Amino acid sequence: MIDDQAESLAGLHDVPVAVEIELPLAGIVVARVHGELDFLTTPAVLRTLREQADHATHLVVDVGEVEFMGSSALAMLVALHDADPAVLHLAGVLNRKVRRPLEITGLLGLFNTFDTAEDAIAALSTS
Amino acid sequence: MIQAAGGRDLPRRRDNVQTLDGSSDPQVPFGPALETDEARSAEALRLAAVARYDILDTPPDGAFDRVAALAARWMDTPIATVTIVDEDRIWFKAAHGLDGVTQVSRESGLCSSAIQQAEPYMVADALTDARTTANSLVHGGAGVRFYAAAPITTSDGHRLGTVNVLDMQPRDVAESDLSVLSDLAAIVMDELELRLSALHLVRAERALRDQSERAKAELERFASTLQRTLLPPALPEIPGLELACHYYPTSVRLVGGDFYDVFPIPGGRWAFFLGDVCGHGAEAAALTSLARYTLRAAAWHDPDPVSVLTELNAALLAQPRDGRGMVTVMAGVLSPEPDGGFHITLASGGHEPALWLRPDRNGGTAVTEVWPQGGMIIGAVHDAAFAVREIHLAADEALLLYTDGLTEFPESGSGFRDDDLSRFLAELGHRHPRTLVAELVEKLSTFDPPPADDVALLAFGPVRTDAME
Repeated sequence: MIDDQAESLAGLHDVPVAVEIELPLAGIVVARVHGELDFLTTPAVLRTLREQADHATHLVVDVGEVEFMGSSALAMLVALHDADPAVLHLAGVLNRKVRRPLEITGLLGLFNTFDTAEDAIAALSTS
Repeated sequence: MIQAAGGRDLPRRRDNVQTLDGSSDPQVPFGPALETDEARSAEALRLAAVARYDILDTPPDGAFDRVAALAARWMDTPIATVTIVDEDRIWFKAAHGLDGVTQVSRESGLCSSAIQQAEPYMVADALTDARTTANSLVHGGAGVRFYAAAPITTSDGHRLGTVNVLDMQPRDVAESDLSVLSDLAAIVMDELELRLSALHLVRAERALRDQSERAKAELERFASTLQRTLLPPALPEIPGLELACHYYPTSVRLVGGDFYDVFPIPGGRWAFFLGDVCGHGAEAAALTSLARYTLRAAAWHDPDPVSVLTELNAALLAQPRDGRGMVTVMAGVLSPEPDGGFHITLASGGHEPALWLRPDRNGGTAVTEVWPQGGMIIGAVHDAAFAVREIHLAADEALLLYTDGLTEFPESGSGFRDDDLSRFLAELGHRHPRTLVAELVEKLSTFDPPPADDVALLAFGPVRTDAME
């Protein structure tokens, strides 16, 4: 559950996380996160997502394949939300591994959420 | 030829100075040159220089032996030595053609005179030379007739000792041969300088290593001291309630972000909280401190758990953005009830649900989550909402508060995941807070891999009056 401090450790860690970037429509970036979001892996993911958010009207972070969401990952989502609440959308929130921490921390209601990335794209393209 | 008084194994102590000719030698600490204050202070500086090179009483060394051998060969003398002039002795770093001699007294040695001058010193025939006619080496059994020496001079002008050649025959040598002796003395000086800088390097390295080890120990002491200040020294005694707690830190240095406290508030009630700061290290420690003291102060001001969490939320969001962090907290108030139970008001700030252990109909334990749903993590948003649950904790029941380090283990390991904790508690066969915490801690120590995050545990339950006695 480290955030900034662990950044230097991330290089030593066999990082079990991946982010796939898709650009389904102009202005919409879908970032599919796979693996474990802990204090070691989150800083690198946050950097990637921040870069994408800078060039997107909508950033859909698909957490449907996330296997672990630690408090540093929650802090990451809050930071992205703080930067611009209109840009960040969460997809894949039915994933139990994500839903439970989001519910316990009361953060689920903070984000604009969709069951799947496709739902998000459909909703955002017509808005 | 020349014999040492005591052979090879003579102790190299100043109080056991030998003579070259086997005669006993009265100790004369200083020669005539040291009769003035000026001379004495110059000698003190010279001795300090000798000490600086830390060469006295060191074992034989090939480099110096070769210089002595070279001097003997070049000058064609049976004996050549490299000597250092100490306070009351002349110590031989190298001795070619002398067997087993390690030192002689300053009085009997010839190089006491040789270090008085910067140029090479030569006695062509010691029997007739006024400078040496009184010397015991010349008139004793040694029978030295020829002696030449060049001083070993430091860059700041101190003459530490000499490179010497000796013969039993009188002779004369050319100026150029004497300058060879000076060159050899300069080589000895270079060797001493090299040796000294290597010595300094080793010492500096050792000092650095010692320093870094001290700094490391200091840091760990500091961290564990800080850690202790973040935890209550002991839980209070609450009449009719058994309380137990445990803190499992994953690392001494990564001062953790878990905390808890139980303390009295006005009206015969007790406030408690248990929380988890997102992060580790110094920043998390600072945040832990802020959270702990804000919660304590807020509970005194208004013990209602929702207003306590609201105040902490405001305090965290008032922090400068770069020092901001999030905290999950379970906070509550305990009020004793006439029936021996306790009324508990529990509010969650995005924290793991508490676990309520109650007897079930079959004589076992039922474990339910007490989850004031909707309580938000603290420090995330300004208008955070906090929910409350109220329960009556009856005798023979217990409530466990914990941080998520207890339940977040990788799929592949043996740690708790999902409902494992509830199942473990249900299968314990009792609901005694102290035993329950002890058994959890025991279980925790068997997990492979061990917990990746700190674990804080706080458990309490009403005790029957008869059980208290």
